[in-house]
Amino acid sequence: MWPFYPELLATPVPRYTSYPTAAEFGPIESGAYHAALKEVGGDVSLYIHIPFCEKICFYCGCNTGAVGKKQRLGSYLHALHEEITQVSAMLPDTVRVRRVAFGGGSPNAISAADFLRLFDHLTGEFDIFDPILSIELDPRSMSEEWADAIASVGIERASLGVQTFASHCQHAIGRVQSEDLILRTVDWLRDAGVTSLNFDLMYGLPEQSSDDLLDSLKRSRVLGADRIALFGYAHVPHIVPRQRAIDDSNLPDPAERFAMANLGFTYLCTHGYVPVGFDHFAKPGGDPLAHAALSRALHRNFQGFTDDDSTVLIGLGSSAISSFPDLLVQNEKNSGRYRMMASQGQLAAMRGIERSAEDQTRGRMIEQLLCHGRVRLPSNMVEAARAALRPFTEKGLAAIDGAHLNISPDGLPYARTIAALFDPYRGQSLRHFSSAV
Amino acid sequence: MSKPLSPAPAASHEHLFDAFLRGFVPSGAKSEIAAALGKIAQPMNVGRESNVPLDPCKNALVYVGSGATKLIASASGGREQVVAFHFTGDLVSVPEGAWHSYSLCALTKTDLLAFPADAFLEIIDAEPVFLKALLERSFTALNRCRDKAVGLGRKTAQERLASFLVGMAERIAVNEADCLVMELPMSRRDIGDSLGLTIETVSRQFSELRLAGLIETTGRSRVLLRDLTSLAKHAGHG
Repeated sequence: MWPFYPELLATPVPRYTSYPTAAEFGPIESGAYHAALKEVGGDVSLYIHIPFCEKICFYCGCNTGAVGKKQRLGSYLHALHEEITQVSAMLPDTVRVRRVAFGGGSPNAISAADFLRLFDHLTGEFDIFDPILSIELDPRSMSEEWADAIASVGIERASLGVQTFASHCQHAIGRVQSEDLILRTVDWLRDAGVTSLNFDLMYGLPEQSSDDLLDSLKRSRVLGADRIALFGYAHVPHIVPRQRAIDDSNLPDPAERFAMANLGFTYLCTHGYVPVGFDHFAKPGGDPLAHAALSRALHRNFQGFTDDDSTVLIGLGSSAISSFPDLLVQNEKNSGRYRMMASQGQLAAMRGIERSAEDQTRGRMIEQLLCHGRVRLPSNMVEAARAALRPFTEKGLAAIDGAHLNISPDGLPYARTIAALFDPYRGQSLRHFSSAV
Repeated sequence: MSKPLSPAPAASHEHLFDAFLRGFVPSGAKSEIAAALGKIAQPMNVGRESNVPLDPCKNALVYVGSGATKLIASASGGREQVVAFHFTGDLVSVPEGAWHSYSLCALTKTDLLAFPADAFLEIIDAEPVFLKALLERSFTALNRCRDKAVGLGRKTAQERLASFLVGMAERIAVNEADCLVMELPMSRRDIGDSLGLTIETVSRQFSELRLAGLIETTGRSRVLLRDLTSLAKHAGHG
């Protein structure tokens, strides 16, 4: 059992899918994004955001809306096509795209025909070379047409929003999907050539018991998930208003949540998965994410833990974030304003932050701690780190060995809290993040 | 790269002072000493390539809360020597009335706490933890200065640059897989002004170390060190 120290987990900490985090974003000069695009060299990754879902689940903090009016969807796709043309024209000719990730929302909330048009356009505008393609999918809106599209485009990695198999939890979070639906989707995707299949699962859901979680983990394993991402549900209705629809009288308390996270970790590690960072798991032998974790080549980006080692990620679509070594920029979050800007041929990135040399160093430290639980400390930080880490080192959760800080196996659930000690923006920020475990 | 219109809010003064105390005396300070130091601490936020506005008639101790600085000594005829670089957590002594006039310049957006050195020393006069911390830092600075004197007096351009990179790696590099990676906030010109080399020589030596497979560079600031031991062999360390 991981030792439980609620006082060390009481302060909410960011998930550090970027550093500095999006909470630090502010207005940026309009030319900054353009200038960064013009200077890109080498290989880049693309992220395409589709902010639509067939149905909106109560728990979800993603930037997404219901498909609803056909016209709104059409004008979003039109704007996205415009942005693709714009951005690709600004990149130097030598830039190659090696990865394309589709996320949302649910990319399969748009029609398979629209998706194929989108992919054709990307192929036409960018120099996409032997790419690794991945997509997030909602099993409820999967269809045979979509499976055909995935096969014809050659998508090898897919991630399914499963969350839980327990029907009473599904009702509590407004996401009802039968096991047959998931099974059918898995079959379609395997037939379409998907070799790395991820299941997103959640713990800490309303009315969820440990047995419910164990059952979902077992079913995921039996259905052959190559990867599992096990997230803690963060009930933050002051940030995600749609969560007000969730009855909060039956949420597991912090001790129960901690035990669930531990149960998930123990079960998956004893049933054929290796831990990847603090909340991902992957099957060793075949899955590239497991390989990255075992060979210390793991990274962290907006999609979580990844084997993507590109230093430039270009985000397309509303709210998508682009990441350059010295700049983070985010496209307009409001889908209406995004449509207006992109369709008029303007870059839609209004907010972000310039990353100073120190930000980049801090970011790398935080990434190493979260991905590998170990980092070399710059010499001027060793003494201060020793003092700040005392609550963790005294309990055996971390240790400083010469110039290296190591998070011990028992310290894994505290990794984000330890990483936050190296984030000088914390302590100034009053924004509430989700609790660490 | 253009600047954000409104930069991230500068660290609050209390936050900066807390970080100073934690870094300087990790074991903790007496509250009355902390309060007295707090009174004489002057917070400053200095933009990139700007001089830190210090009183030229007073010895100053400057704590770097975040960012990076260079300490420049000016000799006659407009000759300038970068004496030292400083990073987050460092304490810099900026003397007045020395043979050369000193100025402290921010390399990036930098948060600082400036203390009048005399008042600082008076407050910590009977505080062994503070005195020990100050002495340890002084020894570190003295040793770096000696290493640099050897470099300027005796070493080849390649040894100077290799030595500089090894020293920087110790101070600011972070590992990534089996390599060390660092973001150098200073320009090639600053490095030249520190090592007594022209900017062309610095660039050429970077290329040679790159060709030798000892380092990789990306953009203006990122340096990746594949093998610190081999690099140290090129640094002429005895």
